[in-house]
Amino acid sequence: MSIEVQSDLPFSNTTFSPKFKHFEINSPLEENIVLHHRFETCKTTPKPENRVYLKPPWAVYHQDGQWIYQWIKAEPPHENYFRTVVTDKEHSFLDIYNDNSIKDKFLKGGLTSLTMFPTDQILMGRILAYRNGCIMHSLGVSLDNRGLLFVGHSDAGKSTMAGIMKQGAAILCDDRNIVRKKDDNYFVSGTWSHGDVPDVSPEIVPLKGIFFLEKSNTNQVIPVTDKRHAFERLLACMIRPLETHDWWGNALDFLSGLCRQVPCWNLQFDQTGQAYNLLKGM
Amino acid sequence: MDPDKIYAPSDKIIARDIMGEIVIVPIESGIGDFSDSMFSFNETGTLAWKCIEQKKTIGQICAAIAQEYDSGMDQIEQGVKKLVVELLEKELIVEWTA
Repeated sequence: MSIEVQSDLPFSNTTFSPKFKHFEINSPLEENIVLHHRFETCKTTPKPENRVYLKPPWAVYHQDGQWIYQWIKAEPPHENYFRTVVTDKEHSFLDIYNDNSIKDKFLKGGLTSLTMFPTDQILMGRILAYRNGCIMHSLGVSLDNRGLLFVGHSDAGKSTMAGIMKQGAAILCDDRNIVRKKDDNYFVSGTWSHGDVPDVSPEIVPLKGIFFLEKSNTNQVIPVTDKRHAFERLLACMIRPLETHDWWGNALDFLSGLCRQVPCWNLQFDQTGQAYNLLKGM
Repeated sequence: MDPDKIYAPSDKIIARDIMGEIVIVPIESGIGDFSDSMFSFNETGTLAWKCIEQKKTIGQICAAIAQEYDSGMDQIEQGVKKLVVELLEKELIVEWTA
């Protein structure tokens, strides 16, 4: 899947942050998402009865086969300000309407998100939910062309494990990774929303294992046989953007299939770095 | 509890069979920590929920459980009543009228 960014205003070499260079390609892929930045007022008016989500700063409407995302004020009556996004049913074409203050920001350049929202993960999480995918709060690596995903709570050791895996694996991303199902196989790729490791790899690799991190004084992998438990732990790490009814349906189906198909292990590891050899030998 | 009464899943929830266990997530704008609000059933509860999804009466739910489990009808009725009250309190089901 590729993301093509279009704009009413001209792009320059510095419109986007250099971190996107890792992911830049020359032409769109067959499966392509278009984000079009428009610098005008959105003419589509959402009807209150079509609202399916309200939690400032977001309100979501589903009407006439379109999704409308509004960036709203915190206080009732939650007026829209600055931004509205209108998409088709499949989230293939996103028109992002920006007001004049955003125009200045665009022209200034150095943008750290493609959508020009504080983070891309909200809209990306929605887009992926309609394409058999999700974003995981995780460390993703490519080891001998095998995708490995390491998950755990914020202090579980993702950064430590990234340091260990750097011995011979490419880091896809140490904070947010995309997992997708295509042709009955699961794949993992990194994102530009990295943590401490800015030098990420743009590879898309088959996902061969999910590891629940556990700091220890030993190094071993223990298969997780309770798939239901694995499901709950993965759900806790899944980025959950604007949780509408249909989003939950897609997310639960996706995660359920992921747990069934991709082997999950508890990974106990210490500081010696031997976990790398353990995983390399699997 | 009226044995002819029918309940149906609320349209504010989503339910899925996850590895043989029904998991229910309440869908509300502004829902916070899902782990506090997620709901799942034991084996009997799963059977009862599947009956609720099929819009079976309370009496039919009890009969379906009695067919599968070796318990007295009084005990089954008490269990179903307790479950229905809990589901209503959590707004996971609503009374259904044709």
